Amino acid sequence: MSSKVLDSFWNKLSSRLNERVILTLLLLSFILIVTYKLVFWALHPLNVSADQSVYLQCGELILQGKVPYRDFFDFNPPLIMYINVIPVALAHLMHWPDALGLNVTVHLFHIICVSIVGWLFYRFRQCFNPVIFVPVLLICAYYTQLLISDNGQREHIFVISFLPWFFYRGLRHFGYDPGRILGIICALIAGTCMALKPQFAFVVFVGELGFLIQAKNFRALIKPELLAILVPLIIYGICFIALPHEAIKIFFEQALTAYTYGSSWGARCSTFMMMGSYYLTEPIYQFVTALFIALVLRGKSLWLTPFTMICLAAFLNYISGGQAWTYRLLPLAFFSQMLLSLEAGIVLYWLYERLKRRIQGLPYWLAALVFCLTVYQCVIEIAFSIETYQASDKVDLQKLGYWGYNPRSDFDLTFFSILQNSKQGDKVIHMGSGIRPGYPCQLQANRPPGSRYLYTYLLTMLVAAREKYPSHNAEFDRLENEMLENLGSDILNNKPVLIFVQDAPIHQILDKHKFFEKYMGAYSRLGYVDSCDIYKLTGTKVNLAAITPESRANIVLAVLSRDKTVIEVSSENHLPSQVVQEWVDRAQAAIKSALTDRSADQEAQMKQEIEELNARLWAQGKEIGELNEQIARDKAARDKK
Amino acid sequence: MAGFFKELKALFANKFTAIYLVLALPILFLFGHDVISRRGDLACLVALRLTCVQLINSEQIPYIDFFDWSQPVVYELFQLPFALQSLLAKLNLGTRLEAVTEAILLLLTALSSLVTFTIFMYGRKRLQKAGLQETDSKDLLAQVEQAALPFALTPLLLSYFARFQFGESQYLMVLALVPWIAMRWLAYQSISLPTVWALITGAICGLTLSLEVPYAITLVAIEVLLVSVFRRLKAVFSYECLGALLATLVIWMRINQSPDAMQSAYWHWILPLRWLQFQDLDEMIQGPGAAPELAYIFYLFVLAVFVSVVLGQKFKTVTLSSGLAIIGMGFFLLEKQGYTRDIIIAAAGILLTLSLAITACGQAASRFFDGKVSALILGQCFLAISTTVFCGYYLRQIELDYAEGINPHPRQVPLGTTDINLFVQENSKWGEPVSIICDYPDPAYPLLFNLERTPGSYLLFARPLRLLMRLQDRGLNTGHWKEFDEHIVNTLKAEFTSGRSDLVLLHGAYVKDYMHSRGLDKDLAERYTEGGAATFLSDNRQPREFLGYYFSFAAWHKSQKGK
Repeated sequence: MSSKVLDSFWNKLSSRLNERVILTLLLLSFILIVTYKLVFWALHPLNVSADQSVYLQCGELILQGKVPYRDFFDFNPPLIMYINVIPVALAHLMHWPDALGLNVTVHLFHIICVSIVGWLFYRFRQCFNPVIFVPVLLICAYYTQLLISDNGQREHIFVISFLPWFFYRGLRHFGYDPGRILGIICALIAGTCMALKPQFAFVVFVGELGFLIQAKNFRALIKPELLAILVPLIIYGICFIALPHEAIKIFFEQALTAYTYGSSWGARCSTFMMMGSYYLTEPIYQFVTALFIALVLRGKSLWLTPFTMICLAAFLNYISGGQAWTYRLLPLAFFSQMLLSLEAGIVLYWLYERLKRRIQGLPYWLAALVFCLTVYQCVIEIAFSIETYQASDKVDLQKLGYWGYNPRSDFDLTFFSILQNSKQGDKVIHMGSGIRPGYPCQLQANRPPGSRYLYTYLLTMLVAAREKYPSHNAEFDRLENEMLENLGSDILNNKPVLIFVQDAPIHQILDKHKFFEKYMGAYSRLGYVDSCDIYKLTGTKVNLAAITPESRANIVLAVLSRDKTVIEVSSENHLPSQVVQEWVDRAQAAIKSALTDRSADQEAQMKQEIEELNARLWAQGKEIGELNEQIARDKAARDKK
Repeated sequence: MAGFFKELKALFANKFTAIYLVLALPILFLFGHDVISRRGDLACLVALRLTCVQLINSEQIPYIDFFDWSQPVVYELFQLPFALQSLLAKLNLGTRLEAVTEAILLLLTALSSLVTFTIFMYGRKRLQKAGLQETDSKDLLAQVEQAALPFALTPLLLSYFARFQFGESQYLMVLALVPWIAMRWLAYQSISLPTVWALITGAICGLTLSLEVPYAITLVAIEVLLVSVFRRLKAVFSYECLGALLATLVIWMRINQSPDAMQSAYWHWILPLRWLQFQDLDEMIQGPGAAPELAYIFYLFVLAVFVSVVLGQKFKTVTLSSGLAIIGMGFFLLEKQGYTRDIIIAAAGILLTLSLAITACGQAASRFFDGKVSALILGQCFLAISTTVFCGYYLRQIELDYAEGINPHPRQVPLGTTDINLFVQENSKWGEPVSIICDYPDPAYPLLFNLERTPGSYLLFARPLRLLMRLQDRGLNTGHWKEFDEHIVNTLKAEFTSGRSDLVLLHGAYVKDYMHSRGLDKDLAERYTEGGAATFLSDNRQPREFLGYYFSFAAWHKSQKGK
């Protein structure tokens, strides 16, 4: 009796719940997955990693009419710099920080590309069995949401752009006609992003080879989209040739030479690349596991071969790169997860086929399950983002000319140092062995670069190049001299307010060239942060580290109480007047800020904390100064002996 | 007897045997000549295990009196060279242990190849007997004939690649796995070996795969692959699998028969330590040269999987061989070291896949000649050419590597240090104990074995120190770990204060940190004086492979006052 009632209930329900219900549930899940991370980016408007921040800075400079290589230097081919004009323009339009512009742009791009994939899956569901390909689509949609530091890297942009192309081409090879216009759109997107790095073309080629091996449909090679994918490459090539002669010369003579010979600076052995830490090991394990399961499931899906092939291509790219950076591993990690999800889909389909007659309304249950799991996962992640945001110390972005707050944990100490010791519009230079911490701090602090060299990685590359290719030393010496001369002339011309110099190996390299004597006579050592000495433009040499916050307060108080003028105090204490004026300005701003009636915020507490940290910094700076003097005295005494 | 010979004739009287002999004998002869004519080239862990057996024979208990994390069955198997040596001595044929061991390994390699070939020939004979009326049978016969040589040659070719890993666990496993795969592949095609042979071969495979704890799952993985390829679950229930299972069970039962202290140490220290190793990469492995550079094997791995993608549908053996490569790569990742000895299974899978692919090229070439030349003959010609090139290249490479192993001239030689070989030779006496405390065993073995110095320390290699310190950093050095830690400290303390070794060589930051944190450096300084430094000079390639930074050894000599 009860089973009859249940049967009739199911029949009624089945007739009512048609394909649209399933589709709606899946669509809602999809929308939720691709959008929930926007909450995180909104709460972290300045969150950006080193490489992406340099690209953004390049985009800013290009918008100001500057030419890559000639007016500012970066190793990378120019396409990524020009692509980053888009997020910068968006940021300007919306009055957002550039970092938020990038994260939102990448996110929107991701939504567009994955939506095309979703549409293809829906439109050609006779080829993309829904039970098998819903897990694939969810992984495609979800993977990007897991990225924070690698969001917007070239590898990330490439894999996103590759998705529509890959599935589109698969349809072509398997005998479907997904439409010419869509093909050309996919080709233009993929072609543009494929041009970001030469090795991306290899992935595209191997993917194509995978389809050919599987479908043996050589007629699919005579299609308009294959020509269209070359169009961005050709346009890029022409535009590159059209760059000013000076720019091309610098690209080939400096950027390419240093990169070719000196990229071993950050190289890692293959063992480390495979198992250095969990974030390297996990994708490699996933890759190996996915390959094995692909063998086990061979023949169960036409798509296994192409998926396996792109995994292999990504693995080759990673190993040949010789670097253990996570973004280099990103395509492999992503493709391996895609392959695993396809395999999971195949297993699910096997189960589905066996259970669909036994469990009535199985498709609805599955769709509901996907929806519930998605809601659960997304709600948890959003709640976690909000909770950590609320619990964190935050920086008020008003100081930077924006609205809102950003957690302090997104910043390096250099950021706070820049903020404390310079004003908006002041130029800053960071000379370090890598890009971090100069970038992203400089971009986050919204301070323009003080030199054409956004970072001085070139110097360390030349050190590595000398070790590996001693026969080319003359060439490397010439490059180093040229770079330091350019850097010096930039300092003299642009007068950056702050210069950060990393203690090793940059300090030694600069010392060797008497760089400080030649170009930094007007700068005084201010302190030390993130393994870098901080130099401030003071006009003359002053030991700022020797002036404690208490003495500063006394000096400033004398001016604020109108007992003395800035000039008088400056001459009494043998300090440049611009330094004293800046202290007075900062003190006035601090008083104003402290008296602003905002009782609920923690600004005072944070300020106090900053003051205490500053006091400690000054005290330690002083101690270092004294120790240095002591060393100098000892050395002099030894020399005398 | 006549029947047996008739059987043999029926099996081997064919052109395949002739081709096999023409190819295999020179490969084996050249390799055998190389192995026998060179001295002092035992693989690191082989020398270490022989030393362990020497210690066991002198009444020491593994894990308690000396530390090595081999499975107990390893010590039992490594008794074989000693037994053979003493047998030969009784026959007035005194031979060095090294030579006996190498001869056994050589024999095992040849046997593996021969057994594999015999399995294929048996399969061929069965198929011919069954008649070739059906197309399926014809195809299968063609596949058997095509796969016979690549499979049979793989153990021999692998010996060239793994010349300095000759006899390491993974090498032995491959010797068992190649015939196993051949046998199981045929079994899934309904061609089973006679029951006794199936049981014996299965048992040998089970025994060999139990040499290291997790490796037995290789058999399961291969079985899963076979089931998926042939869609036959019934074939799993076979005598081969029964033999393997029984052998594994016997080995685990044997552990329970060992002395209580050893058992306890095995379950509480050794096994957990091995698992710990699988989770933790040495943080000194960073830049280029910090581990042996095996990128070329990764490239070949990609090629092997690619071949499998292309040919796997048609040649199911390729799916199995590439599966072996993938499983091997999994174990390489699991071992978390990066040594060549950890990638041998993967290398065997790659070699087998590429050999099969080369043979399969014969078909394409035959089509090119409009079928005038047999695809099989062409494939075997290609294989012959490739193996000749391969062996020629490796013989040259072995020559260079051996020279570098005996008398190293690396690109970097730390100033003021001598090579560890010379240093130990000059600063210790024959038969006297020497302690080389290093995170990995390679600098100490086969050196101490060759120079006939007895191990002067509980730690034959010092991997537990790094792992225990890592546990301590995480606040997990409690319970049995703490007990083990205390056992090490007490034993080392006793060794140092009693001045057991004439020479103590300490290597790297881990050892020094551990000694310092446990106060062992003070105990050492009581009876020893620091002087000189030795380096395990190497460009980090076989046979001299190391992990981490290129540190020198700090040398401590027993001081006169202590005597």
